[in-house]
Amino acid sequence: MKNLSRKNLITLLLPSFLFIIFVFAVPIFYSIFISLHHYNILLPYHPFVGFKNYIKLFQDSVFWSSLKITLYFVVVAVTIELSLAMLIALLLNQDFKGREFLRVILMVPWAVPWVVNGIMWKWIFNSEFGVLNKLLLQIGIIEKNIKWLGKPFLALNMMIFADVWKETPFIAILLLAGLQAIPIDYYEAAEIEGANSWVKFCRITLPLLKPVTFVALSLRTIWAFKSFDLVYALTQGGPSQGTNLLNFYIYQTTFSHLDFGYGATLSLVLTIIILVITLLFYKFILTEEE
Amino acid sequence: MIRKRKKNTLFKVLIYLSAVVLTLYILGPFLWMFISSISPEIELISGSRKWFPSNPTLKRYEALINKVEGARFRTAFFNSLIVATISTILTMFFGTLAAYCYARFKFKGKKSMVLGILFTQMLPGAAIVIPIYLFMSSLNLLDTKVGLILVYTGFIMPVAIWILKNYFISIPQEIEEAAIIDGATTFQILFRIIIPLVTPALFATGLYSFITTWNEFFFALILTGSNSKTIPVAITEFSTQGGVDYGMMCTAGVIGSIIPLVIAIIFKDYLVSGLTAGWAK
Repeated sequence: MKNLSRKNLITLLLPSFLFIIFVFAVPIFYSIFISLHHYNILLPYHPFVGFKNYIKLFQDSVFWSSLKITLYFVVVAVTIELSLAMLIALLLNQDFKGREFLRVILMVPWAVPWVVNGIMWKWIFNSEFGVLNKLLLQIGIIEKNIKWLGKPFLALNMMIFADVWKETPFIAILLLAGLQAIPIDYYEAAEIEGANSWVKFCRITLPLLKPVTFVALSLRTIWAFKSFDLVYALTQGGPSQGTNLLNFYIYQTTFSHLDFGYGATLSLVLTIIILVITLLFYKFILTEEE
Repeated sequence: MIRKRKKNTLFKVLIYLSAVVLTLYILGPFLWMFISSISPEIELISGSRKWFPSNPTLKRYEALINKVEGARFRTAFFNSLIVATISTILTMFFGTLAAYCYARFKFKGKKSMVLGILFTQMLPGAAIVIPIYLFMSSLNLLDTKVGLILVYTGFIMPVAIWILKNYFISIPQEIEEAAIIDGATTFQILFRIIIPLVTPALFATGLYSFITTWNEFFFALILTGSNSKTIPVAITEFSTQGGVDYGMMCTAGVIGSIIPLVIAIIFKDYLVSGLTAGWAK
């Protein structure tokens, strides 16, 4: 590590630094300022209201139900995605014909835009002409068409289904890279000791995969909290607010109801929730390592 | 090296079976969207039991690609191309400079800057989009490509720096030390020695940035209108404006996915190495 002259350092860092400052740092502080005001974009004045927006939040039943839905979405989606990704990674770490092909098509869901994922499943779940009903009718699992997006809780679970398709491959790619980094000697040594596959998985694979699993888990959790595109394209938060994830509720408050002050407040609360959860993750992993 | 692996037949059958199921699961939904996009309207909503249309048609593709009704969609497509390309170039240029600093030099406030980079990834778009919307509006940059390019460049900068920094760290420092002894300046070292060495890494990071900006929807939805609308926004308009035209929606979805899909499939190895360098470390 060397030291660099001040002038060079500034030339190298400043441009990117300015971009980050203006897109992230200034806005987040300005959001705090807005959240302390009654800020309706259509009104000429934006009076200071102190913590009124924050107090409003505690009495806002839509916020609480949206928070509950978001937590359910995050926990269920991330759990399924991680477990499924682990299975896929273990499969793709085996030696078989067509493995390369599978590794390539794993890129498909990752590359497809999030909104395309949303409209694609909206069409698949369509109650009259959707392929899901068609398939299940043909196999004989159901007898008449189901309105997959017609009931709040069912729609939420279908949204998780769509999210799992899109997000699992990315985690599988990370986990696979982790698996490939485990030296093969470890397994050979274990085999000499007479360990069976299950023991090898629990004693070698899982512990060594822990760091990358943890990264995948925290990344996915953060991203799942921020889900927006899928809600917008698939359900628009409905039916009866059943899929109204926090980020979508914030969007509606701000840009449909034009209540910028309350929208900013909600978005800051979401930021704090994400921050606290990330810190808890890190604290957990640090105490584990000690 | 003897690997004693009793791979019995059952195990093999199980592997191939899961591979087939996985292939169907991954490709099925997207293929269905493609099949729907080439099915005539009448077959699309007839409730027929067939899996492939009897009279496939490219009418919708024609409409979007060279008929009048596709004009706005085409504009959105080119807007996306321009916005994603320019923001990627800007990000790569400035991001490389910064990443090199983070990887090689000690300076005051470095640690908090790295934490700041990680923090940006936790921020929900909603927490920054309101002020950005107000700034853009006061600078008359709402609904312009320039405005969107500036926002996207800042938006992907932290991720790009993060991935590049991890690549730079992996280059042995001896190479530069030799150059310093020969009297090369920092910029000469960076542009003549380091950058040629990390071209694959730059390429991988650039592709990642391009796909991310191409697919970005939240900021585009709020900051653009008829002048600078990007492809993800144009796609959703087939399903939210008035009635839903599922056929057109699927066609737009397929066209909008082509570029990221082709990039991801052709350059899979680059992208995977970029993703793992960025996140798995």
